[in-house]
Parts: sequence; C-alpha cells; structure tokens
Amino acid sequence: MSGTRGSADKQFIAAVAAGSAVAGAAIAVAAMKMLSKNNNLERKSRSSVALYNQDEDDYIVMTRKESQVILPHNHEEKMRRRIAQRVAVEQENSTPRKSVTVKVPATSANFGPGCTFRNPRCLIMMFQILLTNLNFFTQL
Amino acid sequence: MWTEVTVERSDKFEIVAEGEGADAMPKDESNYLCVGAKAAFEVAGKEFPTLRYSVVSRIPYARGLGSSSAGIVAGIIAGLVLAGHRLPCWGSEALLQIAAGIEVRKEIHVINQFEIHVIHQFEIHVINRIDTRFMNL
Repeated sequence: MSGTRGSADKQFIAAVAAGSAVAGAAIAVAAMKMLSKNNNLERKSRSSVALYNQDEDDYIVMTRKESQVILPHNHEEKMRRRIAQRVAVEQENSTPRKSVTVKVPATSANFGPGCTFRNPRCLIMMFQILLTNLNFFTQL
Repeated sequence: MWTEVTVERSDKFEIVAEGEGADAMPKDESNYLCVGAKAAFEVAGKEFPTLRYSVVSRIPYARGLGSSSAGIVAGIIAGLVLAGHRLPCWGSEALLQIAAGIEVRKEIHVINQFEIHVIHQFEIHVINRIDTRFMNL
C-alpha cells in the first residue's frame, strides 16, 4: 500500500517539476522575445535619420548600417551625419532672428615643415588645435 | 582656439572686439565680418540691416591660423542665419561659393581655409540648436 502511495507521490512530484520547467521555459522565451523586440525598436530608431529633399520640399527618412562605428577616418558617415544635423538646423534657421552667435575654430591647413616641435610656441599652437579637433570629433 | 562672434540687429553699427588682434582689427565696414554678412544678405536677396558685432578672438593674428578667414566665415554664417536663408542640403559647396566670391588679400590662401572652417562650423556651431525631432543618431 505504502509502495503504491510512494510511487504516486513520485509521479506527482515529477509532473509538478516537469510542469514548472515548461512554464519557466515559456516565461523565459516570452521575456527574450520581448527584450529582442525592444532592442530592435531601439536600433531602428537609432539608425534612422531624416534628410531634406529640396525638390519635393519634404523629408526623406534614411537608415544606415547598425554595425557601423564612427571613427575619425570614416568621412562618408560623418558627412552624412553633418548633413542630417544641418537639415534640422536649417529648418530652425528659416525663422527670423534678432541675434546669432557663431564660433569658428582655427585652421591647421597652413602647418608645414617649418612648424616643428623644436619651437615651443608652434608646439603649443599645434596642441591647442589638436584639442579643438578632438572636441569636434567627440561632438559627432 | 576659437573666434566667437555675436551678431545682432541694432539701431547703430558697432564692432566690439576683444582678444587677439583686437586693437588692429578695423572697426568699420571693411571688417571681414561685415563683408561676410553683407555677402550672405546679398545671396539671400534681402536688404542688409544695421548690425552690431561682438567679437572674442582667440585665434592669433597673422600667424597662419586662419583668423581672417574665420572672420569671413563667421560673418557669412551669421548673415545667413539672420536673413533666414536656407542653403540647399549639400550646402557646404554653396557656402564655399559665397566665401570664394568675396575679394580678400591675395596673400591669404583663403580657399583652403574656408573649406575647413565651413566643415567645422556646420559641425559645431550652428548645430548648437539641433531639432532632435528629425534625427535620432
């Protein structure tokens, strides 16, 4: 009698364990799906950008490769972002203003072989312009 | 190293300068800021108003660091913004054309410098007021 009862208990425990495992797996799968959906949404929103189409006087939504990392030499992507930013700014600039502040950096275009590290003043200037450039890279 | 320029509509023409080369800077309409702003208003097809310029120049004067072209570019950008003029999407070329149309001293290699300034400007300065509704970077 007790042997029959013991085997029934074991079966019950096994059934409860199996049921719990299935329910846990189902919850885990549902959670993963939800997370991946959120990630996709986030990626989608990050990768889309609006460009102004002058001919149609409207905005075109463009997407870019998600895996693309912006590095200093990645000129095309940087230019694309600049244009996107400019589009947004130009729309605001179309409204009349009373004042505007513009900040323009120095150029390193004229640095040549005469500007060496032996000259401390040159060195300081180069360092300052390097900092300016780093600043503009980090703002992208 | 930056040149920071604030241009505002005013009843009286005035240039207030401080920083590098502030004493040597012309305070009349021959100043590159005025020349640039005037060119921008011409491109926009609007009448050039009376403006007040406040300049803080941190770029050393006559050292090949582009202080003159920085002044012209600042004037053009400020003029375009005040005029409410919208350049086409690929506007750096259009901007370069405006800048290249300004006659300046021949010994300054302005064209090379303009390009750099134009790119930097669009990245940093006008962008300080981005409308994030249209971009999600």
